[in-house]
Amino acid sequence: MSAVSEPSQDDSIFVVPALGQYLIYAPLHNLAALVDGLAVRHIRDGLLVRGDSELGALTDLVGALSSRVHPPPEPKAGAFSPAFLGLIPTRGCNLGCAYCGFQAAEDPDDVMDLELVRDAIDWYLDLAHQQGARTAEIHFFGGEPFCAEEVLDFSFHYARFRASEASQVVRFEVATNGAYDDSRCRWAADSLDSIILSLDGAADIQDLHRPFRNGSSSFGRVARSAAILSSGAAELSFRVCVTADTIQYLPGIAGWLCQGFRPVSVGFEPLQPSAPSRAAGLQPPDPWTFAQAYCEAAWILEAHGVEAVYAAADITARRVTFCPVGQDVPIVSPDGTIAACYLLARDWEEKGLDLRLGKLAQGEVFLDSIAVAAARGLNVLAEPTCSGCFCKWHCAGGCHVNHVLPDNGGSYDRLCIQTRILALRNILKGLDRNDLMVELLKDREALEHAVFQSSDLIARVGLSA
Amino acid sequence: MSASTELVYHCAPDIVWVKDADQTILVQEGTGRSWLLSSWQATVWDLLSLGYLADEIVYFLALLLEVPPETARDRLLPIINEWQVNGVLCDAAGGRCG
Repeated sequence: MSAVSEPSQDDSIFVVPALGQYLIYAPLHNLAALVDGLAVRHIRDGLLVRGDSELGALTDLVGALSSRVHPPPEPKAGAFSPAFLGLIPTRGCNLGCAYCGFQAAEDPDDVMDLELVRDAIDWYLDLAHQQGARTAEIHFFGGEPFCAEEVLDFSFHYARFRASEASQVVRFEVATNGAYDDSRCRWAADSLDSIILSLDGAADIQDLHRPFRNGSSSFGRVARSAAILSSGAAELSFRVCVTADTIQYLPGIAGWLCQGFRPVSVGFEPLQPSAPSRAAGLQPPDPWTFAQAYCEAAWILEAHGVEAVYAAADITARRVTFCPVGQDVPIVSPDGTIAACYLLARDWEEKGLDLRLGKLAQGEVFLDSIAVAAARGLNVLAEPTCSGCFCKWHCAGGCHVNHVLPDNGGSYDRLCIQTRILALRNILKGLDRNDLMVELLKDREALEHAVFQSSDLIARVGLSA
Repeated sequence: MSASTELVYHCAPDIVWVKDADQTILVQEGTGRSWLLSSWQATVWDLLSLGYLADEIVYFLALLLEVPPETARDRLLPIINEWQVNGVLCDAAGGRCG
């Protein structure tokens, strides 16, 4: 018995109870295993008090847990190096979604000037070139980007033209409502690389949540767009907003999307409460119900070869920040403001955040290095609640604006509960143990035991006798 | 036949096209004739197919090529003219396609 292992090793090895078994999960070691309580004790002793002589068959497992495959994720440092460029062509939109907070944008009719687009792309591609990136990436956010289609068209051609001069390739991604004509859909399907289409379900749900601004049905138009987008080269993903009233239909929605269209993935996102959603009487689903319905929907999607997405539970991601914030992503608004986040400034300010990074005007870029450093500082390493959570390198604390975490470790809120369940699902799926997840979902007490464990760190977790 | 930025153009109905990363290939159904468009000419074709007016394309080209609008116009009109002669483009005024 001798030296205790370095604390830095212990903070990335987790144990989660699962119906009498224990999941050993070490995302930085690429390792997950189901073992019994006695094995956990031996593994813990083997790691924390080196030289445990009773390891036996666990020797290889302890060996694998003694050296990481991946370094711990760290905040960005050094020169500003964007993961991608975000453009907001306009905050305007042709839909009047019942839950959308963007309807209260200060300047919904502003459209980005093409000279501003050119300057933003020139700046970003120069940065990417200086950093030796062969592939550049431009994401369009809104409002609805296609309400300023000349901005998209110009961005697309200008970026490709400039990139080809530097032997770069540009990928384009758009988050869109799909409410535009067939020729524009065909263009998007044949030109862009990735399309994230918001479609909340069949006609009754879509038209309740996402009607046109005049209140008329958008379902027919958007479903037709989805069919056209399914036939193109672009990767089509659906984003489905889920409320307390629609949660029961999630498996049906999953089946319908797979049968009618050809998505590569479907993301289910619980409603984010907002003033418009409250006014419309829409509520987020209960997190336990959401997790249950998500799992059923995910199994349907996966049977069709379609990926189910709940971004915070993406166990392939190892990160310290969930979103563009802190990843040096410049998101340019129609007025030239460069921000770290695509949400409205009003929304960050309500949470006491200022996510402006700088300004682009008259061809000049002003980037505030103090603001960049502050954005980089918004990460999971600064969240005590997350320190012992097995999801911390995946969810990374979630949205900096909409997910306000309590100060003490192990106090999990609605978003934490569903994230922990769905991350557990994804890990068990990777172990080919969907059957165990099915059993867990049937046993609320066992599921709560897993979810409400105050710390998952192997050194701190309590074990049943 | 001379092209004009005041006219509206549209792709001839017997022309189909495929877009690649850096180029667009036009094929005339029936004859099998084909044209390979690259660089800014592929951009012009894309914009015409989306219904942009020639005047609007001039503005795009001026920004794209970093040239004055007059220069952009001087580059655009011969291309439109050539496409009309080859029957890949029609103008809305007379429906002329070559």
